[in-house]
Amino acid sequence: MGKNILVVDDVATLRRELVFLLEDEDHNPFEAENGIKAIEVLENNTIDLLITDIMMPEMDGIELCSHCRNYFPELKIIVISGGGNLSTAETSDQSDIFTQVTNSNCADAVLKKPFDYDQLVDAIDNLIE
Amino acid sequence: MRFRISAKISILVGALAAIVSISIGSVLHYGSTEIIFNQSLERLKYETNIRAIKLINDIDGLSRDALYLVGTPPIAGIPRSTLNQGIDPIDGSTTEIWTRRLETIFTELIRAKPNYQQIRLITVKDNGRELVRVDRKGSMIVSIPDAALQQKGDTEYFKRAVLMNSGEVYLSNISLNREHGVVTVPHQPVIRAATPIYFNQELYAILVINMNFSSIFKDLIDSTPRLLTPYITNEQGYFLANPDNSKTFGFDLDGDQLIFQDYPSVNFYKTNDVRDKEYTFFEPDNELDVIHVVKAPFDPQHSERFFGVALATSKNTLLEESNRLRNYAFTFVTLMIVGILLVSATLARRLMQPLRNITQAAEDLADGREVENLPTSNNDEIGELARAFDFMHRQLGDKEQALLATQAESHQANKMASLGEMASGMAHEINSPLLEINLIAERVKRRSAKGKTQDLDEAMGNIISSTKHMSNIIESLRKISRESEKDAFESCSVEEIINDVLNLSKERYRLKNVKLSINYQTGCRNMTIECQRLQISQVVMNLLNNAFDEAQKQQNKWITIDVSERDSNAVITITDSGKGIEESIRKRIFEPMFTTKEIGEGTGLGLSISASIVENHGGSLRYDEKSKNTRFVMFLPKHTS
Repeated sequence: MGKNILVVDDVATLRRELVFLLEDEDHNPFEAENGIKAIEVLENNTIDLLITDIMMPEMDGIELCSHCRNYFPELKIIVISGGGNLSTAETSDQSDIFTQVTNSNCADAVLKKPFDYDQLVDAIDNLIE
Repeated sequence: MRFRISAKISILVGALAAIVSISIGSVLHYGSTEIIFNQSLERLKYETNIRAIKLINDIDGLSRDALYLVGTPPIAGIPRSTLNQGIDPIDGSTTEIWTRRLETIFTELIRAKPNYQQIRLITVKDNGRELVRVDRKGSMIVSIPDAALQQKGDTEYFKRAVLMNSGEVYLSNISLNREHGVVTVPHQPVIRAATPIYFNQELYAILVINMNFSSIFKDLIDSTPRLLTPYITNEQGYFLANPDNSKTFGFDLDGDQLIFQDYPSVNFYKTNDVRDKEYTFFEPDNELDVIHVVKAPFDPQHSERFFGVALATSKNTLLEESNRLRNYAFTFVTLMIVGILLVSATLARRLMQPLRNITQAAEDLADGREVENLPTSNNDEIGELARAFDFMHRQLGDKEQALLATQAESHQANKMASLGEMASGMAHEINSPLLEINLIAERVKRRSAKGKTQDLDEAMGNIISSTKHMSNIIESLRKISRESEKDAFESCSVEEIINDVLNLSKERYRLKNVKLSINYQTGCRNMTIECQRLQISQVVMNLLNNAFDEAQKQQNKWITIDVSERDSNAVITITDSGKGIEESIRKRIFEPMFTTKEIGEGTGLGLSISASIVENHGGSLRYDEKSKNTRFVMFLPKHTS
């Protein structure tokens, strides 16, 4: 039985590929281009798994994950990221995105872009089964 | 009030010179005042004595002339012929002839002596009848005829002279001439000298000479030096001569003007002591408060008889010489002080010139001008200062060179730092397309295995565009990160340069919600500049990085790039939503190593390097103080073909 999986990424073509992948794996994909849109989707649907990028405009992945941890505690989360850091002038946190994600304990799995097709499928299977 | 050292030195020297000169001048002045006063006093005494002596000499001459006349032949011839029935037994001359001869002698003597008024021979018989009489009448000299001759037996001089021995002369007081008992006008002060004549040991006659003192007194007064006032008195104190003629001869004219009225202190007239010859009296109440009086004893027979000869003056007159000297000295001292001031001012200026040169050099150095005219060859303290300054200047030069070298190295470091700031965005941008390609490839592989090949073209198209996107980024990165300082100048469009930078950074703005807009003024899109392309890219990158950092802090996040032209310049303006740079740090923002960012966030080289690159291109980079947002404006000369 397929699961409701929400894909959040600001790059439309990439998001589309992820949707194709989920369809191929017999899941029900939902998509959103940023954190705010993602929350809308989450509120209107029963989502089992969230796959989200970190660096996005409007609301970044970390914020989205934190929000989900508070409002959707059952939701499983996979973070996918190309790396870099999230530092802004306000935050002096210069650490790597992966370290940040790990530290915030907001993701169940982290995948570093570019990853293999199977790596994502394995991660999904691990969390859903 | 601020004085220059040279002025201080001049004033000091001038003051010293003034003190020394005035001190010496004062000592000399007060020392000399007494000497000069005493000298003036001596001169006063001298002048008085001269006049006294002249008076005595005049009267002495009168006595001698009287005695001389007594010795002339007619004096013996007249009685000899008279006693021999009118014929001289020696040479046969008649009394008449001797008389005429005597008249001739009298006449000639009167002619020779302008002051002699009258000479007479008076017989002791017949109550002193005049035998011979010659008078001066104006310019004429006349012998008085026998009929007009008078008897003079009652006169004082007759009575006195007949009692005298041969060779003695009676001198009358000086009094105004009278004819028949009445004072003649104009007044003629007259003295009479009378001497007895003996013939065969018997008193036979007297000889009388009247001398007029008018011109003697006049000479005396006229010859008196300026500022001295002469007086002559008789021994009673009556004035005989006085510049105020109305005061003279009070005893003859029922007046009572005595010297003691004007000079009460003159008190030695009545002492009769021959040793009291002269005195200087000070009469504070009189305008002429100094008077020197000399007793001039004129009568050898009576040493108590005298004339008072006096010269009066004022102390101030006596001190005049000294005052004049003081004025000379004062003028001299003043001139000397002025001279010393001028000389010391000139010298001080000359001495201070090297110091001013050093000051100028320091200002030149501070303003970045060429340092010159350092007086390093002076062998004094200023020379030492100049050498120390020169040493410092050269050290500074070396340090500056070292700093420039460091700055050149910093250029590259700064660029890498700028790129580093953008690295996060780029990582995302490269990794996302890579993932996309990967997933597309997987999808195509799986689906083609299942025989689904309907979306193949689109998938391949996506792979190609992702690849192109990545290679663009990598190309931009490669271009911008390489050493570019020695690149040749080339002509390139402003738009290309901006796009190079935006290729690397626009993702970052998107991700951080910083709204970026680029506005090209009409016709400026294809504007070209002659430049080292990557150097200018670096400047744009620096400015955009700063703008990004600033905009991120704001609620409202935006960056605007405006491209326009002004005169012959391309103008690139980068504005962010920040609220401007604080006035207190504005002028420091172009200094190397100046940064407001946290340690590790910025090198502090960005703006200083950017400015130096733009200047090397003949342009300028400025902070726009009028803008209410943070705005930098870059001017670059347009390319003209």
